[in-house]
Amino acid sequence: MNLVETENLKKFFDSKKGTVKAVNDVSINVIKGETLGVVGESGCGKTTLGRTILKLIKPTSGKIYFDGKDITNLDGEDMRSLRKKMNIVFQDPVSALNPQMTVYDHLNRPLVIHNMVDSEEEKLRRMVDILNTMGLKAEHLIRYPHELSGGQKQRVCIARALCLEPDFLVLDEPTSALDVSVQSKILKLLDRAKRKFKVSYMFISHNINLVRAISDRLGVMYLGKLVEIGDSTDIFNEPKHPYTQALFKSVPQPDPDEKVEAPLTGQVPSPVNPPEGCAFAPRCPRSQSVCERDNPDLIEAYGRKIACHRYK
Amino acid sequence: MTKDDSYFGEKEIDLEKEIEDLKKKETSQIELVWLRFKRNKLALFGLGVLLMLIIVAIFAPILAPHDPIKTDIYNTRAYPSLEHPLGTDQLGRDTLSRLMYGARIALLIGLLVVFVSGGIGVTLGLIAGTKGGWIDEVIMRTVDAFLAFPTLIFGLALATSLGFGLYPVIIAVGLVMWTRFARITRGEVLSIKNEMFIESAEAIGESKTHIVLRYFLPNILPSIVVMATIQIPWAILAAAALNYLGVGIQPPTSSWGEMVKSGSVYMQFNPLLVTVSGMAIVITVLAFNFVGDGLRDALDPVRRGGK
Repeated sequence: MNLVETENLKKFFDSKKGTVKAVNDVSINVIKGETLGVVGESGCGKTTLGRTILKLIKPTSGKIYFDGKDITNLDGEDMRSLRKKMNIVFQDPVSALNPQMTVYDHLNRPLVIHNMVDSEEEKLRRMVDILNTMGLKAEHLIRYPHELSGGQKQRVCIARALCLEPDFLVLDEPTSALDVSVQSKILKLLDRAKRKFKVSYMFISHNINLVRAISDRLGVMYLGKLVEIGDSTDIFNEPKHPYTQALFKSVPQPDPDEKVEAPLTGQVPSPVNPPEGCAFAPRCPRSQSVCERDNPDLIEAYGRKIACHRYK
Repeated sequence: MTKDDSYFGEKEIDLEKEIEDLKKKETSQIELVWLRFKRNKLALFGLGVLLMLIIVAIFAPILAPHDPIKTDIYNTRAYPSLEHPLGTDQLGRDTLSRLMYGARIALLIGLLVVFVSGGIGVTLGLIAGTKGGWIDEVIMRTVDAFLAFPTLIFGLALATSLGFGLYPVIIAVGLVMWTRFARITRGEVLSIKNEMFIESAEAIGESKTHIVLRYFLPNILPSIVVMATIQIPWAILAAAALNYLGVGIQPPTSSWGEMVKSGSVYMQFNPLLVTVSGMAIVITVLAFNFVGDGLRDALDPVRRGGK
């Protein structure tokens, strides 16, 4: 059962150099209760995808479904009330909190907007409860963001996103601004919250190992396109798309003696002028002549979906 | 190791107690601002001066030893005496009394101008910054058009065409000044527009109006407050300049600008008039600036916590 689904979603930005095709024809789905990992290099459009799905930026074309309902053209009041069910945690917790608002205010607003509580007492209980789930204490309610550490700020961001008990949460590299010890803690908290609130995650990251640890399914993006999507374990055990293979190979191994071959050569092409055929063809070690002509569609193969001419 | 490492154990937490503790620790916003403000001695001094000025302005009819417009041609340009502690002007009017009544005009102009022009400027700046597009263009080009005139000439022309009195001065100075608020506000809005907390606010379902009022406005408020406290003395000075040039408030109503003007004419006979009225302007201007500095620091939560 799909909680979130996109159909040929496109998001283009106009820039001075031309149209940047940040998200180009992506059809992706998040199944209820799962964690979908989305990986890809910087600039491949994964953050834009997350923001577009939540309608924080308007899609250029395509459709977005939430819980079976088309929300692509939902606007104003209707969209705002739907925000109760979906939320996002951003990469940089410093910028994601209003410096003029205390933690209390940050948790208070969503609860007030969506009429989640009847009394001040109930509200406080809820806040303290969610803070405790996130490993924070009631005393943090009266703190301003600058009085918190980076990890605490991010936990407040997650608490804010979770206090409405949403069905769907986009986690946009929620740990990349934090140091490693805090990262694992946040991941554990996210896992705990998932079980407690029965929320589905879309976990966006460029950290392959992190995604491996947390995802049920995995989507791999390259230059605004989804190139492979399927069961996380399957893909990690046996990546099929040449890009996925190369991406996994480029993860540093903790063995100094192992010979490292550079799996990817060349630069990521500019999203302003993506290659005519398969976007990965210029860097692909297995590219054929058809790859440079035709853009491969996402097709079913090996129990997953792959966009590559090799698997036709 | 941070001390919250132990939180991982899923221990039962006494909510009642936590909430109780919290209520004890909570200090109100205003208290915090005041605590921080208090530490700045200069700002405190400025506030004291301003309070005194306000009291003098309000109670001028009671405090003033003489009628400020009563002339005494046998006792002109007098030096200080018991009867006239700061002497008299060229028409024999008591300088101290005129200074006190002048404070009324000065404060009234300063505050009214800043409230009116600040209100207009901040509103338009917020609209321009958050809406963008052609609305932004229209507002900012209007600002440019206003700024293209030399301010004093513009004010002079306006005050002249609007006639004499207090309100033409306020309108003239206000029309010159709103552009500064608009520019500052728009600039500040643009600088925080791309901060993620704005998008986070959208993500939790805040309406556009609320985002402007709860997220943009509090973050630009410190700059606006500082701007206002710079603009109040500027408005007082501008009004004084207009009075000095002979437009706006007309004699016999006493204004500090007019006093400096007539004092400077008779400086070689009695320098006291121009000195005290000039000093009154300087002290008021400085006091506002000190208070503004203190307020900016006190309103900023990042600085508020510091030592």
